Amino acid sequence: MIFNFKLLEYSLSSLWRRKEKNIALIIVYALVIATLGSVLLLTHALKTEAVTTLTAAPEIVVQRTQGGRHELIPVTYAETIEGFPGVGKVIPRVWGYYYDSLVKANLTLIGIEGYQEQLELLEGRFPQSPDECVIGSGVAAAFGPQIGDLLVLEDSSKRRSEFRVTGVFHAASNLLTNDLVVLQEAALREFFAMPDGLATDLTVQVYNSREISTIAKKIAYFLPDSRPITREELLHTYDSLFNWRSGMMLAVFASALMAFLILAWDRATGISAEEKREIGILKALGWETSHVLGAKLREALLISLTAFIAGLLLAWLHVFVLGAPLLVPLLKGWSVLFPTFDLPRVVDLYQLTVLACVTILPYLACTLIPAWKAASSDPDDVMRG
Amino acid sequence: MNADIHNGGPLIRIDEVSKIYHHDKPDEVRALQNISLELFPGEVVALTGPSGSGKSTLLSLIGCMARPTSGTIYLQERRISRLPEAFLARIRRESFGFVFQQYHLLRDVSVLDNLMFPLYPAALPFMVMRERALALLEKFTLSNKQKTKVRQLSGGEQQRVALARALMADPPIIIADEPTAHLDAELSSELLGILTELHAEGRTIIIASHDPVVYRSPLISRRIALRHGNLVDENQAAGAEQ
Amino acid sequence: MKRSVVCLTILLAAAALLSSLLLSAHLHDQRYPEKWQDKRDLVAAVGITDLSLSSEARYTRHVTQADLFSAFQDFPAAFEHFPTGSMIPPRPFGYSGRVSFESNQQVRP
Repeated sequence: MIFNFKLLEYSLSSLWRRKEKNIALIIVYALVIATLGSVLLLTHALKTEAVTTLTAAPEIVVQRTQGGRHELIPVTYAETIEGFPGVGKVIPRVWGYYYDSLVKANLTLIGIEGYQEQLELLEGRFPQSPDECVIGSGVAAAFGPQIGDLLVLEDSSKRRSEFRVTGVFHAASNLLTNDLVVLQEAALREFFAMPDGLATDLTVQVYNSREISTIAKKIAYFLPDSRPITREELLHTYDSLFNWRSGMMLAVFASALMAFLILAWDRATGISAEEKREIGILKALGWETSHVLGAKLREALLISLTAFIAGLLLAWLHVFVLGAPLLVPLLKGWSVLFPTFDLPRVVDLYQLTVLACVTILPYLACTLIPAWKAASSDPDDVMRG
Repeated sequence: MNADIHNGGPLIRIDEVSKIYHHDKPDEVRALQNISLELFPGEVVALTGPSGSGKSTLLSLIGCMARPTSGTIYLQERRISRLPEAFLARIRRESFGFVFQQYHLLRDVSVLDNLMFPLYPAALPFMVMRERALALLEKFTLSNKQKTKVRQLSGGEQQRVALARALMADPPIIIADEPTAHLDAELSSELLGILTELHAEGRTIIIASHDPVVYRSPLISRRIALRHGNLVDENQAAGAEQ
Repeated sequence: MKRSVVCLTILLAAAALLSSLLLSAHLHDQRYPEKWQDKRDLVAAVGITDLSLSSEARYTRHVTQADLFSAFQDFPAAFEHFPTGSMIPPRPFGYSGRVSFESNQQVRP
C-alpha cells in the first residue's frame, strides 16, 4: 500500500512538472468525453421518454395511401376493421398541420371528441364546444394567449377562426405537447374543410396486444390501399431514431471519437527525450521495469480518469441541467417552436461503460507502450540516448 | 552499510569482459576488449585514460547499468552479468551508489525529492526516507536548499546533491564518473575530502577520472589505466607519481 | 505523501458524485412511476403518436406517421430541404411493416 502511494506521489510529481501540457491534455480529453457523453445521455433520455410514454399510443393507426402518398381515409373503412375478431373501437381521427405566416411556426392541430376527464398535465379543461381549444405551452409562449384568451387561426379561405383557450398543457409535457392545438373534432373538420365521410386516419383498439401484428396484416390484406402502423413499429422507430449508431448522433459521435484517436495517436508516437532520460535515471538508481511502468500507468490513469469523470459531469450538466443547448440545433433545424427539455434523468450504464472502455483503455495502451521500450532497456542505453 | 563484505576474496571480479555497441552494424564501437580485473573491499580505485578509452563503459558494467557483450562479472563471487533485470535493479539499488558525470539529477524536481526518489522501491516508510534524506542534506550542508529545484543550484551544489543521492541506500560501493569534471580546484579538493570520509567508513570507491588532482590524490590506493578499451597499466598508487 | 492524498481525495469525491448521479438516474424509473403514468394518460387521451421535437416539416414532426415520399418533396432526387430531415430519417432502416399474406379471399371495400 505504501509502495502504491509512493508511486502515485512520483506520478503526480511527474505530471506536475509538465503541467501546462497535461492540463491542456485533460481539458481536450474531458471535452471529447463531454461531447460523446452528451450525445449518449441525450439520445437515451429522449428514447426513454418516447418509448415509455408512447406505450399508451393507439395499438394500430390506419392510414390510406394513393400513389405512395398519404390520402384521407374513408370513414367506412372503420366498419370493415371493426368486423375483425379481437378488434375493439375503431375511431376516425381528424388532425393536421397549420402554418402561421406571422410567427412562422408549424402547429399540429388535433381533433378530439367528447373527452371529459381531467388530466394531471393539463391546466384547465378540454374543449367542450366548437369554439374552444387547448394549447401546448410552446403555442402559448409563441402566440401569447393564456386560459380565457382567444387563439386566432386563419383557415384556407382566409377566414379568421377564433378559439377560446380553455386549457394549457403543463411544461412538463412539452416533449409531447409543445406545438399542439386540441379542438373539438367537428370544429377541426370545419376548419380544414374536410368532408364528413373522410378522416385523416383511423385508430384501432386491439384487446390482446399479442394479436396486434395479425390484425395489422389482415387490415393490409383486406384494405390494400391502407397502411397500418402498429404501436410496435412506432416504438421501434424511436428506438432506432435516437440510437447513437445512426443519424445525427453518429455524425457527432464519430467526429468526437476521431478527435480522441488523434490525441491518443499523438501519445503513441513516442515519449519525449526528457521523459526517456528520466526513465533511464530511475532505472540507474535501482527502479525495476515494473516500477517504472507502474508509475507511467498511474500517470495515464490519473489523466484519463480525471478527464472521464470531469467529462461525464460536464455532459450531465449540459444535458440535464442546461437542457443540451449545444445539441439542440441539430434536433431543431428551422423549427420555430421547440420544446424546452424536461428530460427524464435516465442513463444506460452499459453505454457509459463502453464509452469508458473505448476511451480509457486505448489511452492507457498509448501511454504504456512507448514507455515500455525505454523502461525495459538497460539504463546505460537509455541515458546515452 | 547494508552489504555483507566478504573478507579476503575480491569484491568485484571482471572476467574477460568485452562491450561492443551496435554489434555487427556499420557504426560498431568496441568500447572494451577482454578486460579482466579484481577489485577488493575497501580499495579506492582510479580508472584513468583519455576520452573514449572505455572508463565510463567499465563503470557502467560494474554498476550493473549495462550488460557485457561477452565475459562475466562477479559481485562477491556471485555471477551478476546475466541476471534478470529485476535482480540487477535490486543490486544497483542496494550495493552501488552511482555519481554520474552529468549528475543526472531531475532538474525540475526539488533537492529533497531527488534524494528520495531512488528509495521509493525500497520497503521503507515515507517518514524514514525523509529523515534519511534530511540527515544527508545536513551532512552536505544543503539543508536550506531542500525545497530548491535542482536547476537553481550551482555546479558544486549539484555535485553534492548527486553524492547525497548516491548515499541514500547506504551502499558499500561508490562509483563516481569524472566527479570533478565541472568543479574548480577548491571544490574538487572538497569533494576528495568527502570521498576520504566515505572511505574511512569502510566503503569501496571506484572513480573514473582524467583529472590529475584525483588520480594523484593520496586517497587513491590503485590506478588502472585504459586505452582503446584495453587494460594497459595497473599499479598500486599509494605514494607514487606517474 | 500529502500530494497523493489530496489528489486521491479529490478524485474519489468526484467519482462519488458521478456515481451517485448515475445510480440515482438508473434507479429513477422505479422511484417515480406516477410521472410516467400522467404522460401515458395524456398520450391516450389525445392520441399522440410522436414526440413534439422538430416541427419544420411533416415528416420530421410525425416521424412514425410519415409516408415514404414526404421526404422527397418535389421529386425523388430532390436534395434535403430541412436540416433535421438529414438527421431524422422518415423510417428506420431495415424495418418494414409490410407483410405478405397469401389468401384467396376477395377484397372488400
